[in-house]
Amino acid sequence: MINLSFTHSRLLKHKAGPNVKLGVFEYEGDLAERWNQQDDTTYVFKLRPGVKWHAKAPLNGRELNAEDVKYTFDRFLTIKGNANAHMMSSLAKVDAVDKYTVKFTLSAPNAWFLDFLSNPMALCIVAPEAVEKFTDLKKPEAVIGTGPWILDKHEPKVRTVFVRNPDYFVKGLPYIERVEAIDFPDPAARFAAFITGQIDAGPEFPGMMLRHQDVKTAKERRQNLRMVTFPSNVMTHVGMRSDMPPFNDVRVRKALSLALDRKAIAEATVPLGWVKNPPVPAALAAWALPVEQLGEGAKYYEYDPKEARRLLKEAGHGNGFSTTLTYHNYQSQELIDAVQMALKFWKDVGVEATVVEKPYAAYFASAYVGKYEGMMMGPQFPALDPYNFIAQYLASEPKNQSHVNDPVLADLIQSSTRTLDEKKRRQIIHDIQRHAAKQVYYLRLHSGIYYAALDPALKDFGPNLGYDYGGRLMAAWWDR
Amino acid sequence: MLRRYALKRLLVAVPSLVIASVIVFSLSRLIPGDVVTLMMEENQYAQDLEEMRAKLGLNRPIHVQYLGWVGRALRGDLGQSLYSGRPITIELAYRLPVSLELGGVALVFAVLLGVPIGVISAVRQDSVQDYVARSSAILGLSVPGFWLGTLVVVLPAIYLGWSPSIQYKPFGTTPWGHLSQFLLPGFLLGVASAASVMRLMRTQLLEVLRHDYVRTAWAKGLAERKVVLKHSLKNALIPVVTIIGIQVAQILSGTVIFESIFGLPGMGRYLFDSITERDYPAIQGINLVVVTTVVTVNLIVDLVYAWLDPRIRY
Repeated sequence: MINLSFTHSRLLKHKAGPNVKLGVFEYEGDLAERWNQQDDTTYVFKLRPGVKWHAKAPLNGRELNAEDVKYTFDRFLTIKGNANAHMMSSLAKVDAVDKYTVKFTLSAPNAWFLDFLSNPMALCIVAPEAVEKFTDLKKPEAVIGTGPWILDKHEPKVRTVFVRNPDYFVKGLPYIERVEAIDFPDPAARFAAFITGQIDAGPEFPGMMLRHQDVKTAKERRQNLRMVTFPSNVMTHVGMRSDMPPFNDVRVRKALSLALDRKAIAEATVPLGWVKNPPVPAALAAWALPVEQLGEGAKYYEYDPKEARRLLKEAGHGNGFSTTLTYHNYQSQELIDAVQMALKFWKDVGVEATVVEKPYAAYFASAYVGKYEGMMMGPQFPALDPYNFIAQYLASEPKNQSHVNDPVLADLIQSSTRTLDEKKRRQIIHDIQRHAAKQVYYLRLHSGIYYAALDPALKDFGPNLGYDYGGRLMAAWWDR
Repeated sequence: MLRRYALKRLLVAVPSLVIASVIVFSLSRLIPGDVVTLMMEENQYAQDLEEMRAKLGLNRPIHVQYLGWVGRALRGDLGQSLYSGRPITIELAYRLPVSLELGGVALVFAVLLGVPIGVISAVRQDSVQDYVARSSAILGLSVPGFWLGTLVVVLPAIYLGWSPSIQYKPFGTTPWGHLSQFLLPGFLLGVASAASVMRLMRTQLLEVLRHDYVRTAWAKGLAERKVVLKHSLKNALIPVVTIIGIQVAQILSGTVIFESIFGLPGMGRYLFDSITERDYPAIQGINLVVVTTVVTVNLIVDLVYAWLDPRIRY
């Protein structure tokens, strides 16, 4: 996904640059010059004329047309095993009206449709000839797009080199001639390379971040480093089998939440800064409701073991109970520490949770999609839109790890999906968060603060969440 | 006689390789749970489970799978990487020389450090030099390589503003740059092996130095250098040759860590990445190459040993 952000274009893209508000993802035209919504379910896009595919066989610089866009979406909807297919579940058909006009018809209104089109994690436009010739688009020679850079070299797990596309459809862009992404597995060696100036932008995933333990040394050792801080959209939470005892009793869920000292866990694991997460991560600033404004749900974010014990007693668990907690460690000491602290806090109120640690794949095949007993804990997909997080409260969604089946939430979520007016939709999203927090279906924990570390000579670059590194680097330049 | 011995050793190596290939082939199939489902769900290597099984050749009886795999391996076809989609043989052709270079440099350091220090330690038995050498050997054996490697990379970066280059330099672009990038990881990788070599060298030389013919050499008034280097060292070195063979296996396993720390695109790092990506055909292919290399090196060591010491042939 990161590589494709350099080489491919989408119909829409997220605005990027130093003036863009962090955690806010407004869209603008990428391949689409303009677009309009004809009715609740019909969108028409006018493509930029003269957009050329990269000058590589078999495309050889052919002009992009509406058929290419139609082909991409038809393929996206029909290809087997597409993990992102849900994003276009409301798309009924795509028509190439003429060479530069594409019409999208939805089966039902979907207010997130344009957000999904601009999402860098999916839906880049591909060429039919490339698919026909190479079948597997993972092959380096199949990477032929219309994006600002051309894939020059790809050595798996070693490095990927992109060179400037001289025929890019925005004249003069990009400014940076060559981008080299180095795959360097050891974090300590990566950090050493960064502070000695071998890497221009921060060494840690997601892309340009420093680990908290490295921030102080980096500031001391690499002079004039430009640091930008913002909350991460990676949110760890605890899911519970709310369809089974004892978690089907809201008092038990509230007690487990009140038993957690979230502040202590955050300060122990991300010492340089963290944020409280409502049901939509605080990092998505345009949609998250501050915890203090969650109403009744806000009080379950407080640490109150006495009230937790009272609620457990009221629910018939005066002597506590035993359960299991399934998780995968992601090779993250922070996560391991957070799990151990949570176990301790629950034990303090009489809840004994036995850890079931699973390998990565087994965890994803089970707990991550709701197949577990008792409780589960782990970071969630770092989506850039709130829908991915509120969908965790929908009975039909595999991401509904807590097995929520709440008609109030289902109605609210459906209403939000069909409300095109953004202001009104925001209100509904806030209502969803208030209701979800009150019912404590998930125990949302903190997110850490990211420290983006950049060479001061890199101008007009604004870091942000998500994988659109190519989009964010497009207008950047070196003042050297 | 040497030819007969060599033939016998060669015949012993064949079943070793067959057993090793069965183990390498079986290991991924012994992983609990349906590994194909896990690979599919985690990495989306195929469009559905059936395609995934077909890709891995799991839709055939196990003995057919094994014979097919061995047959293709003998023809130089180790299958295709699920992660990169490229033939594993091509990946290895790019990466194996990097690991061999790193291993070779490590072995040179192991011998260059281990043999002279072992000799000094033996000749100056129970002196300060001997204690320092023995203590250093114990330190070299007990300090984990990954820790030493990390320190060597991070500390100079913090205090001197220098760290090894993260860019792998192919020989064709800059020969000296290419060779120099192996010196530091090769030295560190060779330290633990040097410690083993040093300890064995010392013990063997001490034993040889107590032999009658050495005493005779001393009695003849020969210089210490001549007694040690000319008359004793050659005999003491014979058992050391065997431990060097064993060190090859250790050094190859060490490349997994050092290639990751120093950004070298070798076979060790390829193994590490393949395990992370659950790329089982690649894991099988790499392990088969490692096992074959170790068996071959040990075979060579045995032949060299027999050549050095004719008594071994009986």
